[in-house]
Amino acid sequence: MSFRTVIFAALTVASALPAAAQEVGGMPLRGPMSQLEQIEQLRPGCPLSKTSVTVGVNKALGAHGQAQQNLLTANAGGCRPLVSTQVVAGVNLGLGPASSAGQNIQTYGPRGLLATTTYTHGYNLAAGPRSAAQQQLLNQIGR
Amino acid sequence: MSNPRSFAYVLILTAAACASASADTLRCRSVNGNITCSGSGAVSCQTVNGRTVCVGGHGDVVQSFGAGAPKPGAMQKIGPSDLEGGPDTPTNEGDLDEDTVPQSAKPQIFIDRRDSNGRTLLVERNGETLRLRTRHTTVTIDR
Repeated sequence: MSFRTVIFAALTVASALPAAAQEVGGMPLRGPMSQLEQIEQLRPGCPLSKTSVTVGVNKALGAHGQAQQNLLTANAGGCRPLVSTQVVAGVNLGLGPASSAGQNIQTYGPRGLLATTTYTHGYNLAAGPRSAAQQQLLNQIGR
Repeated sequence: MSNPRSFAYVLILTAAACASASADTLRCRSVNGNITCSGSGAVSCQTVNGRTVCVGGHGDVVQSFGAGAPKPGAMQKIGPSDLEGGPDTPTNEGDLDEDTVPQSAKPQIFIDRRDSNGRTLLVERNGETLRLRTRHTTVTIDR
């Protein structure tokens, strides 16, 4: 067997490997029938995946300054995707003397048919003398 | 000083050194990665998915309001006045699906108060159990 033949054979095997991996890979199914039923609940026109990211930065820097921020992200339509991901992050800073910073972030989203992931993170700081910082983060998943 | 530029550098360094020496204390509290901080004389309150943490800059008052029964669309209002002993209303969870939030059926309250002398008062309610605790006394009441 010539050297060229060996290389050709090796390339043929290497190119065949990924196809074999795809056949045995994929999402491990627990109770395949129930998960298939869940997948079949996906209504026509609804997305397979839905991701919502709501980020707010609010700051009151001056003396006696006031800063108020309200953010609302709501899911419209009533579609339930297979996978739903919601991220809420807020930074609220009352840095000026006697300043007031208020931040309110609300998110309403659908529950995924297969999986739902939420991430909520906030940083709230009242550093100025006699300052006040109030932060409300609400990351809600519907039924 | 002969060189005006060197004199300016010395002035800047002196000012920076004085500024860092006179920095106020910043008190922070982190719950599940969410951070709220207060400087001297300041107040900060943070509500994340129904759990409220307030921090006073003097460290004399710290309150935490635990999650309670979900109320869709209802937001808890927390302000500096709550530090003086506001109502401990149940708050809404981030998840509206009651099937996946069995704890929401139990009213929960957690109030932790500390003064500058280290005296503590803890009021905790978990369902039908009410617990009052000070440095020397613990009272548990089961309905």
